[in-house]
Amino acid sequence: MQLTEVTDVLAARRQRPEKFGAMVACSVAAHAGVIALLLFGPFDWNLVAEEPPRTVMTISLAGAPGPRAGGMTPMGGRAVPQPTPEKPRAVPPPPPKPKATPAPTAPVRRRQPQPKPAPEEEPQPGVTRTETGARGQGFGLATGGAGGSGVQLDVANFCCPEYIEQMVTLIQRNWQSNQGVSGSTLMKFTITRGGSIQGVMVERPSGFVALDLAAERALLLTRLSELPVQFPNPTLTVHLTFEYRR
Amino acid sequence: MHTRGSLLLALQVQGDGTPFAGSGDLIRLIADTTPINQAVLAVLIIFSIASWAIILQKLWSFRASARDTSRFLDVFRRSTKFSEVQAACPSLTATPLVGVFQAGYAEMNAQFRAAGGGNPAPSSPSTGAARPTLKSLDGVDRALIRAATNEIAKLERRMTFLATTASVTPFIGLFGTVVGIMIAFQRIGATGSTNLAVVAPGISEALIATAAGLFAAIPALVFYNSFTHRVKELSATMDDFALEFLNIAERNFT
Repeated sequence: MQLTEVTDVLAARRQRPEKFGAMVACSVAAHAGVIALLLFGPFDWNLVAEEPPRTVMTISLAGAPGPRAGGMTPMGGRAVPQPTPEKPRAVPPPPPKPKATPAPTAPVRRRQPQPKPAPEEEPQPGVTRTETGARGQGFGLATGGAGGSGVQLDVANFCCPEYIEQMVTLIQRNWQSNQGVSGSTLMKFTITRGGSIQGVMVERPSGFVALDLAAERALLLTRLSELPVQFPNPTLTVHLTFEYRR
Repeated sequence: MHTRGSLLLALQVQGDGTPFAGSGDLIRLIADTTPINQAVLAVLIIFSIASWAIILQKLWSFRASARDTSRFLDVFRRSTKFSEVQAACPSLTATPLVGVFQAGYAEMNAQFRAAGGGNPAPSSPSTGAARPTLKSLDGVDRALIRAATNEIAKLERRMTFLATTASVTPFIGLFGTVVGIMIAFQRIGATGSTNLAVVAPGISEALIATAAGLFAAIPALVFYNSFTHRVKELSATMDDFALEFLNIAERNFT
């Protein structure tokens, strides 16, 4: 084509195809691929959610230890005892009318047979729950004692508060909490069905080796009883924070 | 010194076998968003598709242009006649220098035809035969400037859409997020719970819109800056070529 005028040249240049339609098709295909990859690809979008929710039980030992440090009383979410149904009392039969007999020579006192009292029934736990502010299905545990020392636990997923009481008491016996510095060590360990503590590890160190070692020592020295029969799982993993306060 | 300690205890029962429900699942996350958020996502996807189409087309165009520019300059500098250069032009159409050259060549032809009563155009800048003379070198200059402007406009075509995508899509995404958070807070108020499990999913859904806005905006901005730089480079190359063309025309046809 002979382009004789500048305007013709410019017009011809403007009309040159640019393959934009093909690029739109490529872009649509690429977006479809990326979206499909994001939706159905091997990416794990549940990284954070995979970990099951962990219920934290807080044990605070502020103040002087009471007479029964470590002793704990269930207080949270307790079941209200159900009133036992009243049984109809057995009405004693009326005394037999005395026969018209000659007066006895010697008065004989006969004891009237007393009805045996029915054995008292144990109050059964009811459906109603007291509102104590404890979260979850759990229970609270509190030490008695002077000085305002208190221990509170809040647990879901564990059946037996007594076992936790016992465990904390035993660990506290072996724990040298007087280290002269403040710090917090998070320990992780597993209690097997037989009651042995395994897999003791420092989950979050305190920054002081002495504090971490004291916590680890307390766990290693502790001997626990077997896991409760009501607890069906083979092991119980515990995350326990040892908080040292100056 | 009396040290008091406290214990913080967390129990984790092993072997529960109850995997946590995948609330972070992306499909469900998008499906759970509000209709406004879904509309915002659709708009952002359209923006992204269009901007990537432009990006791909420009990448292809600039790559071909760079290849043809070097070839054209090689042909132009080795040729002894403008007609040889003109003959090579149809195979090197990707470079904007072809447009500039053809415009200058057409203007010179027009001037020679006007001066010589329809004689053919100059075939060579260095032939010894009866040499045609340019009537106006300024006219050739203007033709070259027109062509260069035309080529720059063509190079910059659709780049404004990239700039618009880069600047607007974050705001569109932000709009979706703000609306999503508003609705999430309404839900939180309705449930009356400040639990993180109630608060977090709504905010997470709302933030998808911002993420999609940035997904569309970031490539658009990066490539807009890159293409602007390339257009400036090609513009400088065209200016340089136009001056070279004028010099040759002035030396041989005035």
